[in-house]
Amino acid sequence: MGLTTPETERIEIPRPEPLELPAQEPAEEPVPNEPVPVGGSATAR
Amino acid sequence: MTEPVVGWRLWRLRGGRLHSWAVDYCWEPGENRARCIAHGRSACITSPGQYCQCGIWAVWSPPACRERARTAAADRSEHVLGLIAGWGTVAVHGREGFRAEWAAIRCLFTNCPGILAARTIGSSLFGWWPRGNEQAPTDSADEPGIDPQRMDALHAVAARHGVPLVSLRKAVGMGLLGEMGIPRRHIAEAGRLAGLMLEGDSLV
Repeated sequence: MGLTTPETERIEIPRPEPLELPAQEPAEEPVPNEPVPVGGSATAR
Repeated sequence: MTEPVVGWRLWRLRGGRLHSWAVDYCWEPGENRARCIAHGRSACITSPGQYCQCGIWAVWSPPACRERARTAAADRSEHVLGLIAGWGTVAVHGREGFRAEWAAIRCLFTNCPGILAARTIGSSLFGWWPRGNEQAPTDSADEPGIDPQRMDALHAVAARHGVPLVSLRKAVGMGLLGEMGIPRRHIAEAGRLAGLMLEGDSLV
């Protein structure tokens, strides 16, 4: 079984891009906690 | 044209694999390349041949697929309806469909194509489902009494090909057909086959 209508046009279509999975966000560098002076405050004086 | 053409076609589901409707070929997951299987003459060097029927065919209109399935003599329970994307050299056959050099399955449908409703506008069997309503009817409402064995086989073959398996009704409601590049008039045809009446259909 095929198509019964005569061919009307011939086109060239490029190969489609393969489906891409969404890229993952790079993990951020962990920021070390600032040391808190013993017996004092972390606030700058 | 830079985007693949998308059309409707039929397969026969046998032994857990999708067999071509017209020739002895078993579809592979991913890309499939056409080759000419000429009988009684030399095969075309490249497919789709210009004066041949070779190539991976699909039709633009879902009712055209239903008619092919309805008139087929073989067991209807093994018929499968789906969408393919075609590229490479593509022979366009007017408003009927195309023959492509390369193709990949995009989606399979749960509906038995040969027994889809041949409903007309105004039929009392119509459901009413305006566009914009995101609540799609369920598959069970779409195809009551569907053979569980057929569903299992469809799920397995869809998984093998890595494509979605949905009912026509759900595909229309979810906007899947539009996302796959099916024109609005053919989405409306698919909706009517699934028993839906979309906004813009006028009662007669």
